[in-house]
Order: sequence, then structure tokens, then C-alpha cells
Amino acid sequence: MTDETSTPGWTADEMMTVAAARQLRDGTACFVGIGLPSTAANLARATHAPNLVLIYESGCLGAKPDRLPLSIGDGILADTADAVVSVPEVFNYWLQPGRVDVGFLGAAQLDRHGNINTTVVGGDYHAPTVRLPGAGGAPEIAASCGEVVVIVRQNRRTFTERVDFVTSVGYGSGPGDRERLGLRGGGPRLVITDLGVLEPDPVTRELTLTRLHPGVTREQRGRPPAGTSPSPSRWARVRHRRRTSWRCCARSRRRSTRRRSWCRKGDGRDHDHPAHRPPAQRRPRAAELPA
Amino acid sequence: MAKLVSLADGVADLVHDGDVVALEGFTHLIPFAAGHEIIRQGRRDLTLVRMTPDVIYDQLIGAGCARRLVFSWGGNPGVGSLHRFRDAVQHAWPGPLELEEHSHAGMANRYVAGASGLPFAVLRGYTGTDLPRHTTNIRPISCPFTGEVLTAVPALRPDVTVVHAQRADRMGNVQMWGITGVQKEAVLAAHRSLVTVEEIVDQLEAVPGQVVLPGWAITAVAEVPGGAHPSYAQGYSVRDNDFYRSWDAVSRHRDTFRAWLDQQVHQAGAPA
Repeated sequence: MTDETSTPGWTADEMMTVAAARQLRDGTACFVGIGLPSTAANLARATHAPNLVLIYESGCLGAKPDRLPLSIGDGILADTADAVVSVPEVFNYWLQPGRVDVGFLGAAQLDRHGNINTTVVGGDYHAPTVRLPGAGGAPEIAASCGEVVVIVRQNRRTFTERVDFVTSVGYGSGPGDRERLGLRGGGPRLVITDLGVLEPDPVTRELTLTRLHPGVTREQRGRPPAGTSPSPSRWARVRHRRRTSWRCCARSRRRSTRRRSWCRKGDGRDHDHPAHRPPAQRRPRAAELPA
Repeated sequence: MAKLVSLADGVADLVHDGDVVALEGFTHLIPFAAGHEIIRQGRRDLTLVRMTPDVIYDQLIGAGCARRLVFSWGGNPGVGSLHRFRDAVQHAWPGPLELEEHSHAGMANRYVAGASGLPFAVLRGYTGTDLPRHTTNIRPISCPFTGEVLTAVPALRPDVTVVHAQRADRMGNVQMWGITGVQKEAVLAAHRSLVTVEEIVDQLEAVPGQVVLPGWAITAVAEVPGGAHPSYAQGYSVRDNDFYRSWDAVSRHRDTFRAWLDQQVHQAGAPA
């Protein structure tokens, strides 16, 4: 695949795949869609996370394919799964109660609070400029997974100030919205693009560029949305903090580069939700049980 | 006890103009041959129901069979857009297509409610999304015990559900395995059902992970070997990924689509 953003030695897709794979912790359960998320999850399983539990919405729980599946319903998934369950069961028994730690989502549009559109772009809902596939499993994955990783190419068309249609909720219109809506999962923890990684600001919940992929320059990041070009002084702050916010880094006064801890008390989340328990409190995986 | 019928007779008897029709199958076991027979018999004004309207519904929509689509994800899996679906929504070709749009969780629960004889299903879903603004069939409901606000969606009760399975016996008991999706719920939710199978055998042998639908819960069974192609039937065929990829070019333009439809569906005729 030729791509303007590719660097000699790897393609943008490969870099996104590797970046996504590295986010997956061994022993966690991961809801994967076909394409890049599936490739990333299988890469993780083949390298640092052999006990990663792959869940496909077709009903395959704990699939262990020895080649990359070509669809979410590939026979190799059913053949190698711990269990094959019905589609209602996947959503009702496994996703809804919070048994899935990580959900991968793509986006046709993504806004600064991590809300996702995969339904319609432009025009009216009934007469859209572009009709997209729609929701699929995404709204409930975004609502109920312990955390969400969004994988999307970074460009002005995709990164919008507001999505034309909220198919899946990220942080709504800002801090506290997930809690007000009663969404029990943690929301987007990472957005992996072809250029780098964005994370929600701990306070404003605004997506913030925190890492660039190797070989990517800050100038390439200059495909920002909404036509806001950071001033030189802002770039200086970027260099200092390695952290640019969605629209301009000066919005956030926070100087710290603190990482989101697993789960901070007092962060307004549902700490009874299994996905929000610290790893030590979670049920042991088969591999962790004494022989 | 289900009647054993030919595909043409089964579609003629059970699928009528204006019906609410669900063809289910989640990547695996998609009843393509039955969809093609619906096109050949020229059914019109159907409300097509399906969680994942993929290539088979693109064909039905492009052929002008559908008036309305109830769905949760419409795309060519792993390939891209459905061009006939998009043409219908964006340009009303070959006719306007009304949409009722849900999420997978909502659709799956609607079938469960239909199969359970309940008027609606309750789930944690859709919250905060724009879907309830456009789909009036998504409503909030308060839990009578805790007061928590949840989401209700009405039961789906298709006039007829069509699915494909691996095997049936001569009593019409149907056996499927591998990824069985939402087919059991879709069949039990429907007023009538047609199941196409790879083969009819004297005796069903147990298979791990099987779902068995008793013949007395099914209206008709038709033997249609390869009836899921380009989807697949585990143990009988593999998915024809090349077809799904080639569909993108075939379906992109109205002329190439029409030529394909004439040649591959109309002239091909019903399986014997």
C-alpha cells in the first residue's frame, strides 16, 4: 500500500497496528472488529499478551486463530474459540455487564471529546451527503467496555469540531457527561492515528496529542481540524510538554505529563463496574490460577 | 412438522409482497440463494429486516424488492460501502428506501423479545447517541425496582424469517453449528419460517456447539446445497472472499449491477 504518510520500512497501517497492539495488556478481554483491530489484537496475542482474550461480535469468545481472520465470522474464529455463543448472548451477557476490558472502534468522524460518527455525513439524516454503514455494535461497546481505543486516520475530514451524528458516545460534551448519561464503561482512553496517539485530558476530557510515531514530525501533525494553527509560543509549549490539545495546546493549563492511572478514586466512575477494578481485584484468568 | 419444499415453492408460499422479511445469518450461513429467489419472483414493497444488511440486501435493494429497511449495520464486511444501499438512500434508486436504524444490541434484543412473546426488550443501550432522535422505536423506560432509566425497543415479529443451515432431517428438524448468530431468535420471532439447508439426511448426528430447531417450530425446509454462497456453511464450504471484494466494482454502477443481476440471478434460474 502506498501512502503519503508512510515512512520507509513500514506503512502507516502497520504503525497503527503496532501502536494498538502495544496497548493491550496480557490477560484482558478485548472486543475486536475485523481489519486493523483484529490484526493488532492477534499481534499482541502472538507477542507480549499470549493470554489476551479475543471476543468477536459474531459470538466467538476467546478465539485463538493461527492466521488472520478475513471476517468477523471467519470459520477459524469459531474453530478456535473457547465458546461460540449467540449474538444476543454476546451483547447481553458479555458486553453489557462490563465483562470486556477493551473495545476497539473506528470512526468516519471523531470530535475533540472522542464522540464517534459512523452513520451519516453532511446534509440531513434522511438525505445525507454520505450514508455510512451505521452503528453495528459500536454504541454499546463505547458505553460498556472498560475502556475504548479508537483507531482512525488523522485528517481534517475525519477530525471535526462536532460530529454530524453521534453514533457512539465518547465524553459527550465534556467532563461529567458519561456519568450523567449513566454510561458505565470508561470511555476512550486512546486514539491511535497514523501520526501518533491522543489521550483525553484528565480534566477537560479533550483529546490531546501525547505521542508521535517514530519518523513523524510535528509539522505532519499539521493536519489539524477546524483550521487552528498553533502559534510559535504554543509550539514551544508542545515541545516542553509533548502534549498538544485538540484545538490548541494553550487551552489546557495543566503542565503535568501525568498519565491516567488505572482508576483514580473520586473520578466519578462506577467503581463496581468490573472493568474499573484494579487488575489485582479482577477475577483471575485461567492462566493466573494455580495449577 | 416442517414441510419439505423446493426453494421456488417455499418462497412463493411464504414470502408475499409487502411482507416484513428477515434474512438472517451473521457472516456465516447467509441465505443468499433464497434472497436470489425472492428477486426472481419479483417481490415488491418488502420491509427487509437484518442486523447486518450486507451483499444480499444490497442485491435485494438494487433489484427493487425493498420499501423499508430495519437494520443496525449496512456494509460489505472488510471491503467497504454497499453501493446499491447508498444509491437508494442518497438518490432513491431504484426507489426510495425508508430506514429504521438500530444498534446490534438493540436488534438482537428485539428478536429475543419477539421469540419470547414479549412486547418489548430492555437493555442498556443507545444512551447519549443520536439514534433515538431518528428512530422512534427507541424509548426510555424506568426500572420499576430501582428507578434506573434504561432503553426499551419493541419486539420484532417478522412475517417470515429465512435462514440457511447445514442439515435437516426428513421431519424438518434443522441443525446448524459454528457461528449461529441470531438465527434461532429470528426464526422463533417470526410468524412463518423458511430454512434452506446444505443437505437433508436420514438422521442428524450431534455436532459440538450445535443449535437444533425442532421441525414443529419451522414452516418449511428446502434443500439448497451451496445456498449460502458467497457466504459459507461450516463443514461444507468456505467463504468466497473474492466475491465480496469483486462486489464493490460490480455494485458501484447501476449498469454493471443490472448486468450482473440479469446474468447471475434471472438467467441462472432457481436451483432444481
